[in-house]
Amino acid sequence: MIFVTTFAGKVFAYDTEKAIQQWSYPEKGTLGSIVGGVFYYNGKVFFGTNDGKVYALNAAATGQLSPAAAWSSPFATREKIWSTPTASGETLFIGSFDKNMYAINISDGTEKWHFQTEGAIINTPIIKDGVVYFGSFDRYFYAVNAQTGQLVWKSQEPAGKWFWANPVLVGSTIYAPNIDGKIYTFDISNGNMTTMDISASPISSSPVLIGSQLIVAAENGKVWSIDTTKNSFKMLIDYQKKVYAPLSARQNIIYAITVDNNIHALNTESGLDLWGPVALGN
Amino acid sequence: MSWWDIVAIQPMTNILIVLSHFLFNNSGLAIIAITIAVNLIILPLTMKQIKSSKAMQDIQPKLLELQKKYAKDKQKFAQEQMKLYKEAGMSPAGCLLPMLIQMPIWFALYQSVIKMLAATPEQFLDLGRYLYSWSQVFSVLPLSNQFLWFDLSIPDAYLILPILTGATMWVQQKMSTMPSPDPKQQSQSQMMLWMMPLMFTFFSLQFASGLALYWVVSSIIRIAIQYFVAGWGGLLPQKTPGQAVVKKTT
Repeated sequence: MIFVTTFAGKVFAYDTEKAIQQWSYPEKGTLGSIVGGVFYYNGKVFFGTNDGKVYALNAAATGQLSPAAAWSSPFATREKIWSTPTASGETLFIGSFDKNMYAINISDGTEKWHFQTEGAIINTPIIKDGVVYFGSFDRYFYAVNAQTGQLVWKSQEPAGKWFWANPVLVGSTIYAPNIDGKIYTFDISNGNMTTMDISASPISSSPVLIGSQLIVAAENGKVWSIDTTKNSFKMLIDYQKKVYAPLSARQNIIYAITVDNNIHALNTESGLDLWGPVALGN
Repeated sequence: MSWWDIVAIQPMTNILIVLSHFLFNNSGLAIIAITIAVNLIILPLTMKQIKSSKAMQDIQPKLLELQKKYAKDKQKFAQEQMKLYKEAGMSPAGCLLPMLIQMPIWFALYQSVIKMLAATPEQFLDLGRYLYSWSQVFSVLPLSNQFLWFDLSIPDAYLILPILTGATMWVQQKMSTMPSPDPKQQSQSQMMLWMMPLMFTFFSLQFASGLALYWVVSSIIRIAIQYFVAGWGGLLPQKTPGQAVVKKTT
């Protein structure tokens, strides 16, 4: 199934064969705006809303108008949620504008722990070997024990601005884009930080990893390729239109959506603009 | 960023955010505080403008007389008009200059309030470009948009703020509008008296409540200043200047 969330506050499920709608949630009316995406895990769909709630639905609701909620009530945070959740084992992880990273028991939607930073958290954390890694609007990057919520390390220096886009783990290095136009790299064992001055333009679009190539789009429409084996980078293309949406990839092709609602396809090996712009619907 | 962004919008936006930090993380209080502060800074200009407007209105009857007297000699009328201004200790630019100086400050404040109340991801990203590297700025964001009964980032669903915007603006306009002996000018004043408050009431219904709050506070401050400088003005029943006062005899 394909799950689609809308800013109007509704989730739709379509089958992958013919894109026929299977269900929508809620069946009638809307929830708070959904900015982040859905996370599908063990037959359940998880997402957060602009009114600070985290929902869990039983995804297998084919033939029904609306799926059943997996929890007795949504998990509530104190502020809006723009983050897409992720999970490990029986725990769901999601950041909130209330400055906390939450660990939620998937079975019943109760809180396992929360870790407070000094800024909003809107990126999806990386979970690796029992540690949760994420950046915050307070400009610091954190590593927190996934079981206990205890701090493992925090970056020594603040970044220039907010950590907005999702970080990416390559080997033992985290690549975290920042609104200041730089990519910060962190050694996952100790948090040692280095900086790659990629762009003068903010990076809010989440990057994708293709082999050892990290593809990053800056807000000004320039798409960069970072060779993570050498930490060198080169520009692949300049769309000359703003890019906010996360990139997606299949094999060595990336798909980028520009602010004028067009989708582009780019071969990252040859640097060829394969097709596009193709206009998306409203 | 443009020079206007760097010189005006960026500092004012950051000041608003820091003010929120010191005012219990309350953006509504920050908007009120900065509106008061800006009004205090430009108070001398505002007072000068009000005094000039009042003086201009006071000399209206004399001006009308001159107009009639020199209806066929425009050059002479201009000379006499300047003489009259000089005698009254005012210059025609006296009303306009303070207003022109204040306008950029009001525009900057208006734009900064919009920036500060970012609600969508695009607006937030835009706000991110304007932030200084001050720790208070990053620790206070995102700001809470809740203030009293309304959400500062959306129009007031109870319509209280739009009504207050229109009402306070009408009072302020009414106080500063004096009856004119010139029917054409009188009719224009009447039109402005209603048009501006209605227009801003409409804006308040469409835009974020934070802006309506800023307009209400601005109008209240200007009503207070207007009262202390020129009294209730046009709010109280007035005789039209130059109107003949007929003494009733029995």
